Amino acid sequence: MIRDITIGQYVCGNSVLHRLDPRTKILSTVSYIFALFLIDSLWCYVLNFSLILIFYLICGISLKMVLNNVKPILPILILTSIINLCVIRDGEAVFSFWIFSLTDRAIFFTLTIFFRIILLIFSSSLLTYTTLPVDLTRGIEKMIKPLAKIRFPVEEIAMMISIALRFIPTLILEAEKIICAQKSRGFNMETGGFIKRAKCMVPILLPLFVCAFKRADELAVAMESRCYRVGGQRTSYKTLSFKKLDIFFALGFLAVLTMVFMINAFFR
Amino acid sequence: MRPLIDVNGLHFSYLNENFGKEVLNDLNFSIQQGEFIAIVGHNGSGKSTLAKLFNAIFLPTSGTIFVDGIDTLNKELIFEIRKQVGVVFQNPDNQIVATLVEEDVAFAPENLCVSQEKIGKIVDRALEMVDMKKFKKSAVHTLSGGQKQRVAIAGILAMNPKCIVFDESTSMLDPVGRKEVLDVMKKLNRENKTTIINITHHMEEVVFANRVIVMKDGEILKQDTPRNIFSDEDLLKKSGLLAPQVTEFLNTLCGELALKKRTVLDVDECVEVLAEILEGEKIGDS
Amino acid sequence: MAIVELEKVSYAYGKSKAAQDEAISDISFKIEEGEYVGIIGHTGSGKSTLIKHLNCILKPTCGKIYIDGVDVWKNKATVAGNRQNVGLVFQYPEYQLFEETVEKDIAFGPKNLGLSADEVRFRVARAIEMVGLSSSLLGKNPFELSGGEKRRVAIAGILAMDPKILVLDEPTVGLDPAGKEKILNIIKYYNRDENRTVVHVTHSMEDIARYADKILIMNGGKILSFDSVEETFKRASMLRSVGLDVPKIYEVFLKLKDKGFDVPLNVYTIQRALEVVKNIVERKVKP
Repeated sequence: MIRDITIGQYVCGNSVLHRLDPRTKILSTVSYIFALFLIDSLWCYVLNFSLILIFYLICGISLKMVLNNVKPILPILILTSIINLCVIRDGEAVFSFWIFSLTDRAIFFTLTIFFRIILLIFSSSLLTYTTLPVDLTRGIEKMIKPLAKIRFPVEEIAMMISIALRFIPTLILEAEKIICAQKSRGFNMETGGFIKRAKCMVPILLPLFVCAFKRADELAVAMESRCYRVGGQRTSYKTLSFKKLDIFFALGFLAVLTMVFMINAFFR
Repeated sequence: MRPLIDVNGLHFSYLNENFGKEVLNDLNFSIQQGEFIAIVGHNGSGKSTLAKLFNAIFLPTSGTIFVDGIDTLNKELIFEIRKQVGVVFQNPDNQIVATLVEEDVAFAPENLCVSQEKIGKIVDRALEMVDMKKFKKSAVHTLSGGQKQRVAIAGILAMNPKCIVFDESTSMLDPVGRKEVLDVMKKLNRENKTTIINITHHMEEVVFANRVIVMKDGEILKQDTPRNIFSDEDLLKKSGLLAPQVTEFLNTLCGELALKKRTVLDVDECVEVLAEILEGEKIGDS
Repeated sequence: MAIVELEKVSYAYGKSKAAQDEAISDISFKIEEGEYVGIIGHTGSGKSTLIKHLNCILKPTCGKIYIDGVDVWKNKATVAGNRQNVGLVFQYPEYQLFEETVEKDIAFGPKNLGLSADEVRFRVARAIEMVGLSSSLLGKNPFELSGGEKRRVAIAGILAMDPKILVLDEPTVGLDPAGKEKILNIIKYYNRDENRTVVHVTHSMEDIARYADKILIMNGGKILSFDSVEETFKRASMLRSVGLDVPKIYEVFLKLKDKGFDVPLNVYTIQRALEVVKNIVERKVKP
C-alpha cells in the first residue's frame, strides 16, 4: 500500500542519532553518499552496509520501514541488473549458457550499482527518520545561509522544503482515497500496455493535482492571514547549536570513512 | 464606542472569474468588541468572501472596512489588521504550516519578528488556552480533526487578536470535534472577551450568538438575535436555512394548534414550553 | 435471501502504526434487499473500514462477505461483479471528478462496465435526472459548478452504474442545509422509488432517524447494536454511553417523561412528535 512508503517521515525517538544537530547529520549523509560513489571495492560496500545497519540498530528503527521504501523501485533495479548482466561482455566468463555468458566484470558492476542504490535509500531515509522536518530545513537553511549574500532566496527555499515535507503524509492519504474512489467506479489500473497504463493514471493524477492546487491556494491564504510575507524579516522559534556529541560523532564518522577509503585503495 | 469592525457600503467582485458579478453588494454593519456573531447563508452567499475581507486578504471593490479604526486599504498597516483579526479556515490540513504543533503555533510570532524567548511563552500560553499543551511536541498529522483545528486556533491566538473569524471551521469535523471547537469559541468569548465571528451552516451553533447576520446572494437579509431570526419563518424559507430541530418542531406545533407562537432555542426551553402546553390542557380538562 | 451478508469479518491495517488506522473485528450482519441501513459511530470506530469491504476495496483478513448470494472474494470475476453491484460514494466525492465535461464524468463508471454507447447515454441522462440537476449542465466543465452541484454530479456518476446497493460515506458533510436536504432526498428516492438497498454512513442521528429502516452502531471496531430505528433509540442510554447524540426531539420527550408526563418515547422525527402532541391535546379536549 502507498501509505507504507515512509520517505520523508520522522520516527520519534531519543537515540544518539536523534539528538545530533541536523547539520551534522546532513553533512555525514552527504559525505556517506559521496563515498558510495567513489569507492569501487565490494568489501567496502559490505563495510558501508554494515555501518548503516549498525546505525539502524542504534536508533531502533525497524528495517521493514526502509525496505518498504525500496520495494517500489525494486522492479526497475532488478530489470537494470539483468540488463547489465546480459550486456556487459568484458572480463572473464564465469558462467555461460547458450548465447548468454556472465562475466566477472558484469557481476561486479551489477552488484556495485545495486549496493549504491540500496544504500542511497537506506542512508537518506535514516536522515529523515531521525531528523524532524523542521530541524532538517533549519539545518539546510543555516548551511546555505552564506548564499543569501548573492541574493539567493535562502529562507524561501527552506520554507518550501518544510511545507513539502509537511504535506507528504497528507498527499499520500489523498492519493489512496482517490484510487479507492475510482476503483469503485470500475476503474482498473493493472491491465494494458505502458501507454494504456499511463493514460489510466489520468483519473488518479488529475484529481490529485486539483486537490494539491486547492490546498496550495488555501495554505497561501492561511499563511498570509498569519502575517507571512515572502522576503519579509522573520525570527526563529528555535535555533541550532553544535554540542559535544556532534563533534564526537563527526570525528568518529570521519575516521570510519577514511578507513573505508584506505581499504578501498588496498583491495582494488 | 468605536466599533471593532465597521463596514460601510461594501461592494466586492472578483476581478478574473465571474467578471461583473457582484459577490457582495452594499453591506453596512458594525461589530463591537466582545460580541459573538454568527453569519449564516447558503453556499455561495458571500460569507467566506466576507471573512477574507475582514483581514485584508481581499480588498473592497468599493466602500470601506475599518478594523479597530484602521482602513483595510491601508497597505502599511496590513500586519496590524491581520494581528487584530485572525481567521480559522475550514480545512485544518490546509492551514497548518509546520509538521510539529509547537512549530506551527510559533509561525505567526516568527513572522512578526518576536524574540525567541517571548515566542516560547506565547506558544505555551496559546496551547494552554485551547487545552492542547500536552500535544506540544506531537506531529500534526497524527491528531484528530478537532485537535488540528484547535492547533489552528492556537496559531491565531499567538497573534493575540481582538477578533477571531471562524470560516466554517467546524464543517469538516465530527460531532466530537465540533463540540471541542465550539467550546473553545465560547471560552475565548467569555474569558478573554475576544470577538467571535462564526460563519457556519450548523444552526445548533447559531443559538449561542448574540447576533445573527443572515446573508443571501451577497446581501444582508436580516440581522437580529437568534430567537428573532428563528421565529421568522419567511426569512428562513427565503434564505434556505433550517431552524434547529426543536425550534422547527415547536414553530410548526404552535401553528397547527393555533397557539401563540413561541420560539425556543434548545432542548430545555422546548421541554418547558411543551410542559406548559400539556399542563394547560390538563387544567382545561379538570 | 439477504442481499448483504458478512460472516465474522475482521480486518487489520498491515503493520502500520498510524493513529488514524481503523480496524474491525468479528463483524457479522445481514441486510435484506430494499432496506435503508444507517451506520453510525465515532471517527475511528471502524465504519469507513467496514464499508470499504462492501465493494472489495479492502479484503478481509478473515471472514466471508456475500453480496447478492455470491462469495465476493471467490475469484477475479466475482470481485469485478461486486463492484458493479455495489456503488460506493466516498466522503467528499466531488474530489474524484476529472473529466472535462459533466457528461463524460458521469459516463466514466458505466463505460468501465463495458456498456454500449447508447446505454451509457441513457444511464447518464437518467442519473442526472435522479440527482435533480438540469441536463443543460451535461456539457459544462464540472469544475465550474458549485460545491453542492459537484457533489451531486459525483453521486450521479455512481448512480449511473445502477448499483443494487448504494453505499454512501457521510454524503452531506460540509453542505449548507438546502444542499443537505437535496442529497438526503436523492438517497430516499433511490431507496423508496427505485427500491434499492442503501447503506448510509453518517454522524447525524437526525438524518438517519428520518429515512432509515435500521441502524447499525459501530464502536471500537465492533458492532454495538444493529436494530430497527425504534428499538435503537429505546436504548438511548447505550447511545450516550458511547458518546453518540440522540436526536434533540427524542431528548425533549425523554425529559418530559422524567417530569412525569405520560408521553411515548418512540419519538425521533418532527413528524412523529407533532402527531404525538396533537393526539394528547385532542384526547384531553374531547372527553
